[in-house]
Amino acid sequence: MEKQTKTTRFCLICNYVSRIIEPLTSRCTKFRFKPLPDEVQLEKLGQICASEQVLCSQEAMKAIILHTEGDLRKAITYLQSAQKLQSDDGISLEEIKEIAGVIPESSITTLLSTSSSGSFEKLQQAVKEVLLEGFPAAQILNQVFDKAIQDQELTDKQKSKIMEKMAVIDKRLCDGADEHLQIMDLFTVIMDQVTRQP
Amino acid sequence: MSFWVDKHRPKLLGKLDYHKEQAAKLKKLVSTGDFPHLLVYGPSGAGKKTRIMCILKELYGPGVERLRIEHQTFTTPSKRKVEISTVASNFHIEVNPSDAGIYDRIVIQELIKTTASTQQLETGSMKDFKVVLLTEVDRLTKEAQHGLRRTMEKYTSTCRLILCCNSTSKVIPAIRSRCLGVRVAAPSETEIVQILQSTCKKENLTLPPELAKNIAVKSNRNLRKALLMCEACKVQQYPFSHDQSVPDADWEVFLRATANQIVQQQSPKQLLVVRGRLYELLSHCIPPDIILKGLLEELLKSCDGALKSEMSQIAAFYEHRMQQGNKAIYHLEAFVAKFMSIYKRYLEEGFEGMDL
Repeated sequence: MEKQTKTTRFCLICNYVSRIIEPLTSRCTKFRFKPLPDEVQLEKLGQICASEQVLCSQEAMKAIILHTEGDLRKAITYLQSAQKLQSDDGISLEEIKEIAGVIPESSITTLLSTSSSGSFEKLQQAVKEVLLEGFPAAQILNQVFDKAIQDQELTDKQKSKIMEKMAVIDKRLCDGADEHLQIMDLFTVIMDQVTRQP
Repeated sequence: MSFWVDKHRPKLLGKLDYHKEQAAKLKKLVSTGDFPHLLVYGPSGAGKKTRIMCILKELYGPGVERLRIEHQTFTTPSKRKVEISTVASNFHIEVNPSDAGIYDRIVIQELIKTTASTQQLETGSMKDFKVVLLTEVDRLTKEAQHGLRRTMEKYTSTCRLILCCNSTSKVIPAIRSRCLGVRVAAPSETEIVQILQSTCKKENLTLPPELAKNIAVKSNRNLRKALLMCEACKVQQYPFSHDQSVPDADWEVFLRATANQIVQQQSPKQLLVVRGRLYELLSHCIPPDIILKGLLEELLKSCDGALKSEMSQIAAFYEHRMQQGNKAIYHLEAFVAKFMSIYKRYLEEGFEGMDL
């Protein structure tokens, strides 16, 4: 890098600056790109909708932004896909959820309520159903996480136990472990935590 | 003679038996003549491949059904030759890149490059892009997936990708965000019953509803399995009787017996017997994760509530290790040994409790 400065400038792009070694970062000027704020994304999507003549309600756009978590490319891909799939009356919320692969709220609630009922057989059945619907385990993990963290009834200690397990499961899923077994593992831990008397 | 599974596979999006709403949407998507990259996911036997072939037919017409098998060789940078077989028509090429093992990145990149760099001769009558269909994307290495995302963007004008996998958990987010995800859920039991009935009607057979129901339950909502089982039943006995038993695969019976042995006695000697049986299963090419899952399911039947949770947690732990390691037998055996020890402890505690 130092040798060629006369003729060449380098432009490095990465997701995490912490993963680039120190000698490299110290030779570069750093620019940090923060996740895009919702208003900016909303504006951009609106702009695209206007120029492509797509019917998309404000709610639908907000749903896109919510599910893409600050990833504008994803948001635009979703918008385009939704436009191609849409029925005549514009893009609906359901379509966006389907494209984003979001699991319906009801399924997650069922899973959690069965695990608090304490019946292992019912839990096994419920987990099987959700996986057979084709929902990816990582998505289940994501949504259960959101739900569990906002749960009012769980104590902090219970939550931390569950979160710890979630971290383990996430790692295992990344390593390519079997989804059914891992999700069962997670919910049995939740079941233990919820049903155990304090 | 071909299997019913292939013979009665729907060929058009309009002819699909279930998920009709989704089929209509896909039809609309394709009717514009252009579509984004697709990522089709769902459990096995749910009809992913059927839907993909329907889409291709909708796009290009009957020409896609004239398939040819080609063997292609790729040379890795280390001068190793990798051979892989592809199924192709004039309009699309299908490949299972995980066949190439750790060299999958090269296969994918070369393949897409060669497919995408040749333009269609008659652009007037045909679409100006070809389709590359990659199956089992979830088994690709991370490097291959990263290689794929560059290639995807580079050749969008001449080439569309359809990716097919069981779960998107193992597909990197960068690829997921570039594709339109199509979820294919497994058919419900009633849907399977209907399909079995209609298939039998086409074959001029009568299928008693009880038997259809039995097959549907046993198939675990896997349509391919259900159809194969139904055909197996026909070979076994026709005309069907309504309480006919649905034949189990040999290895399933064998696995069940193995589980029984584990429950019966917990000793080092028994462990040795079980090891022999596990080896037997492995040498008959039953995948280790299926063995573990099957064992767990059978073992859970003889466990109590609290023990059940513990056992599933242990199974999850050993299965993960098995994926990371490369000798499955160690982990299977470890699981069995662990099960035995916990089970035995549990039994002994139970007896002591009774004495008091």
